[in-house]
Amino acid sequence: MEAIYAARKEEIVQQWTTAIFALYPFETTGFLRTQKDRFANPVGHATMVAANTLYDAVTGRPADDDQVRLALAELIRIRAIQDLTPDQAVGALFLLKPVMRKHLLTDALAEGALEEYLDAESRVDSLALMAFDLYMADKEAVFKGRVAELRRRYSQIERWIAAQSASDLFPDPMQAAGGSTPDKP
Amino acid sequence: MAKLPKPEELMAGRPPFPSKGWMNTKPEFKPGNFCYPAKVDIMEGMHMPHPHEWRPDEEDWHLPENWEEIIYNGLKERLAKHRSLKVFLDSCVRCGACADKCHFFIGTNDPKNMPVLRAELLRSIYRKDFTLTGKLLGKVVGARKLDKNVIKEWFFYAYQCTECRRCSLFCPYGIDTAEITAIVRELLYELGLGINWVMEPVSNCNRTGNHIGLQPHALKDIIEFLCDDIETITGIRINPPLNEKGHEVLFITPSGDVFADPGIYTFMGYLMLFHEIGLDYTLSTYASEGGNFGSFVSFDMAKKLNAKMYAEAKRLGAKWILGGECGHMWRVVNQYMGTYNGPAPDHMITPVSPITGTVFKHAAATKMVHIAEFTADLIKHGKLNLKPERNNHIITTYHDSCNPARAMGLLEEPRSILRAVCNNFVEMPPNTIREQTFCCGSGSGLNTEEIMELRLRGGMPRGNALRYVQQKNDVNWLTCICALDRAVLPTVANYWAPGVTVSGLHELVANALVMKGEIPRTMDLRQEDLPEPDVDESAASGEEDA
Amino acid sequence: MIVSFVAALLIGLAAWTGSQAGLQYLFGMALPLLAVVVFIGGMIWRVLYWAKSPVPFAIPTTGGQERSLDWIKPARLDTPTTKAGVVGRMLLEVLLFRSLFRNTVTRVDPQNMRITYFSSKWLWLFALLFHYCFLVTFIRHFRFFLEPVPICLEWVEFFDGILQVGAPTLFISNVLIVCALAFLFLRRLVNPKLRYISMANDYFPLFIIIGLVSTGICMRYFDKIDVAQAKVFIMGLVHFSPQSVEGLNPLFFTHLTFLSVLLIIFPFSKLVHMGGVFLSPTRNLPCNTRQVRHVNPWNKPTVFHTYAEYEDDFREPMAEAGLPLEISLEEAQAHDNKTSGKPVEPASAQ
Repeated sequence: MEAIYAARKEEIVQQWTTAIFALYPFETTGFLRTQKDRFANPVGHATMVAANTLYDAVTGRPADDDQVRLALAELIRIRAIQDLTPDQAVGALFLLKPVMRKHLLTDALAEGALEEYLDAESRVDSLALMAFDLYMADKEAVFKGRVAELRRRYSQIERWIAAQSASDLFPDPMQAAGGSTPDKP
Repeated sequence: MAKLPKPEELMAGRPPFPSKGWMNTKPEFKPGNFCYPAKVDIMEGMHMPHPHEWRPDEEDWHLPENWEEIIYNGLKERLAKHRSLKVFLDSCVRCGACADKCHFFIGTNDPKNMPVLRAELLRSIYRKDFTLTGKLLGKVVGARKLDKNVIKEWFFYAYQCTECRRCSLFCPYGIDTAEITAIVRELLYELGLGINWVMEPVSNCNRTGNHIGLQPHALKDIIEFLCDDIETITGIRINPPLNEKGHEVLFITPSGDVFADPGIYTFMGYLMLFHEIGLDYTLSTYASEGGNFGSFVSFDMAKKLNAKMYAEAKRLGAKWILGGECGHMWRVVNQYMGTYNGPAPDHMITPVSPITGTVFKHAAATKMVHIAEFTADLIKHGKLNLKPERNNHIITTYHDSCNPARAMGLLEEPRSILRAVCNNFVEMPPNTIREQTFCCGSGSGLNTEEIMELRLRGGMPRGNALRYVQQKNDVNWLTCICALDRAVLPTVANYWAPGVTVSGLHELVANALVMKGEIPRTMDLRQEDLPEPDVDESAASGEEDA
Repeated sequence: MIVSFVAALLIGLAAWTGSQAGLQYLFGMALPLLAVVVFIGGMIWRVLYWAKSPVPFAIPTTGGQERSLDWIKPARLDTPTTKAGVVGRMLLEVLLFRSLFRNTVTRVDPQNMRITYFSSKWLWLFALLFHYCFLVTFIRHFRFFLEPVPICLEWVEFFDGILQVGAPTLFISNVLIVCALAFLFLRRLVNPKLRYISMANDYFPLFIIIGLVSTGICMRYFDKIDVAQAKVFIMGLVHFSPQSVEGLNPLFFTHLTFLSVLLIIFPFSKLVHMGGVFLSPTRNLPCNTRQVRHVNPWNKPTVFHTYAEYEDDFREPMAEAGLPLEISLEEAQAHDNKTSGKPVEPASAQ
């Protein structure tokens, strides 16, 4: 079975990434697929790198836990801030299943390795759970980033207000400073 | 009852072929992908045309009744005023060299973020109204009729461009999308469509001199807090002159450096440097904003805000102006200031470094020198006593800010400083630095938090290059010379390359700077412990004696 | 694309059948003369149209190190500060397509994260090939306009045919221009980004040029025409003395028609990029904007919030904070009392 996994890797990874890119608007898919430059096409690059590592992990090749997590994290980190719904962001992993079935299931049955194959499919589910964690962590990082940025922006003003309140000179220090925070419409 | 779809069906990708060309796709406004509109009272206060209530995600934008006429006349007027606009609109051959150079295109993969299409949004209207072929042949030659959706499209994409000019570097005809974006934004303002994150700082800068609207006494208090911090770190008390007449140099830096982390450390760095070399300078509360948010509104607004610099130099009798680390401030100072508000007041002289005697001939007309030029000259002449070992725990890389890089050419000066004050300096990959630098993704007034995801997409190419050197060279620090960068790159770095700290250049300078009469340093400017604190020399020599 | 293709095809067919149906003078005389007039008139109009608008701001793109301190080497051609530097930059841009040459890509081997740099110079290479081949072909055609044929033309032809293959000798420029055109056309079809941005007015000139080149090549190598007679005809055209069109191949007229159409659309299409590059403010201005003031002819009077207004707004807190004032609090109060006769309000906003 291992030999089959290895032999089909290139094809499966390629079809899987194509399926992932298909989630983007049509006009960009060619760009994502063909432009190999890590710096000119980070989305395509990260997806491609992650797909290779994750395939190995799914097919049960001994893999470094950290490395798998890292590959998945890079994939999800990009998708978490793109214009995708949560299911599209995380669901990229499930797109692997139909591709695997097409290329591996018949052979697995012929070899009598159904159980082994189902294990591999289950590993996709594990990855999806991991991806869910990572997606939430990324989203949280965005929200935290928002708050942190605001705090940084007004750090010295907060300090000034604290000093004013301490000296009790002004009842409403923010107004006294003339400062204003842009608020929402 | 339908069966529950399989995952691949649930996520439903695109249809197999695009049914429409770019002219027929419309942007979808949803929370997170647009900036909030400018408040009516602020627009009124700044005498902007047609202030009104509107929301980008609502169908009706309440445009003035004669909006088509306004746009037609507005475009006509600008064509007559700017040769650049005519040439840029006529010359594009759609070769596609710019397409994948835009950080927003790379990060969002939205085809209309390709600079060529962003410009085509305006170009198509120009063809229809101002060219013979467009009038005759219409769609076939890429002309289209102006309608309200075009206005929405303009708003959507003019505020997904940071005017960083990376595309203009690669264009064989030098077509500058920043110019196109600036003019589209001007046209939108003619209809009363602006964003609050730009207009409010403009209004604040106009009245109070800084973008947050802090009044003079508060500004003075905060500067004193920072001097308290300097005293804690170095044992030296600095009392920077404010609004004082008769000093040689007027120092202007973006006001964010005074009250925002981590800009304050850079500001402390300036004060420590000036104190150490005994520079005869003053700060001003009136002209306390170097950054020019007006340049994100219109050429006239940029001119209006910029005028304060010369006016204040004249009032205070300063002989020349020293400018702090800032991005678009230097775009305005280097390329527009002389034109807008020059010639400089008569009493001003070609800047001369009082310490080294170097004459900054290249600033002969504008009389304004960049602090990186100034400090690089000091270091070259050995006027600073530096201990770069204090920065040994830092492995830094350097982010060229778009404007100093592509509208000024300030590339080597900051690098030479960085090499002198930090022993570990690693460059990011060549096609992401110097004149090819990638934008932070939040420039030109887009550094507002309501579009955080969009900014992170735009900042991805920079974050990606940073991540690369982080993994490869253990980089843990990102130095930059732009106040906007200092505000937004921590967020970008934290997302794309967690663990990298962002700082200004002069923070590292001041860390390494050995000041006369200082106490042995045990902490850096952020008051974090130095891994290798200074050895107390008096104590050490005392031991030797014994 | 289809529209452009059909349009170009129709033009070719019209010329072909027309010149067989006795309209040789229309396609061979009237149209070319009209085309030349439209081209020259159109280009003059275009340049005047551009030149009519001023250059309010100096906005050169700096492509390298500025000139600042003596010990830092400036990029004299990418960030020129002198007139000569600007001319140099322009020449690099026009003759060698400097900006297109910048196209680089980085490749990373995903296995070991090793990084390598490739330059993506295909567009640059083929664009350059195309333009130079076009130029060489254009120069070679002077043989038909000039009598006697200048010696330098013979050299051009000699070097162009230096391979000495076939009879008549194969011109290298013929081969290269076909390759370049194929590349420029195919990349618009194959590259999804380009396919998306390309419009009819991108394909049309391309098809016209393909038509022009292919008819020219046919006449030279395959359906050979009587060069001597063609020359007589063209000399007649140049001297406004019509010559006989008897026996001239219809291909010749098709060729001439494609050329005429190209000349006619030139000033009104993207082909004006030829002139645009010289007038582009991001390339044709020196990067010395802090040294020499650039003057804006429509510079408006400066209106801004003055220091006096600022001090009026904040005089009280400034006095309290010990900041120097132009008009002290007492002076201001005395002045206010005098003018209004009312007690002074604390510093009011706006």
